[in-house]
Amino acid sequence: MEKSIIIEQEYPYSPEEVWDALTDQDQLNEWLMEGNFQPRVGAEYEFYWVNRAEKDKGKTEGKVLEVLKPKKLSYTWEGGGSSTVVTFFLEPSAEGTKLRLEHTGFVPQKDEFVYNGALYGWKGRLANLPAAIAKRQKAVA
Amino acid sequence: MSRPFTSWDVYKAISDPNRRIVLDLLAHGEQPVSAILVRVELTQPALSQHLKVLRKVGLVRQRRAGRERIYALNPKPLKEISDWLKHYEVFWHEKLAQLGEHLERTHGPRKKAKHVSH
Repeated sequence: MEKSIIIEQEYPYSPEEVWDALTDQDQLNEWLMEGNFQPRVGAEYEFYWVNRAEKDKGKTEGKVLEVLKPKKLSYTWEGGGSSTVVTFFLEPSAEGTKLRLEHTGFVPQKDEFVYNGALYGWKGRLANLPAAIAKRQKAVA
Repeated sequence: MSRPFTSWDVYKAISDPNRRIVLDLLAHGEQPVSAILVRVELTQPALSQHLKVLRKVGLVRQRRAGRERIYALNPKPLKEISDWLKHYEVFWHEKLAQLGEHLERTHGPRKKAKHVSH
């Protein structure tokens, strides 16, 4: 049976502003990962888990499936033989924009093996998170 | 706490280096606070705060023995987040929070957003 992750989050910014943050690689560098994403159906992309200079430490790659500005963005999310799909839905809300993330297509047994290999990268990144946030807050202040 | 603990809370708890040191110590067996204190470079109040966080997410258990408080590791929440799907869930929670921070840096602060559900 396939499994999915669904997360909804609201942002006090317009769907266009959120859309740009989801599709412009310069902005993706800031909150997701470094890579070469382009919002064009069929375009292939790579996201580097650590950064561009250390792309050998791991990457996610895939192909853009759907680009419906500023409502829906969908791309495959592949690595080490597993293929899943990430879809963002945007909808205007009283607060600004409601974003719904769906990460679908996890096949438990096969992906578990793949995932364990990927784990190291995420663990390191998450461990660095508090320091990174503190650094950024300092830079803003 | 008004909501159940999630793997995200557990992940946040273990993302702190000092708390990981405490967990590593307790992985070898239960320890009184005084023994933990000599092994970490923390003040007593700082250590108490870290232990409180670890207790809240269920990673450590406390019992009293005379005047000492003894802490023990409870690895069950860690086992839960070793589930690969939960790791991606944590990953996206982290990233979507960073997206919010990014939008605020780029466009300036606006009315506070609220978390809808997950």
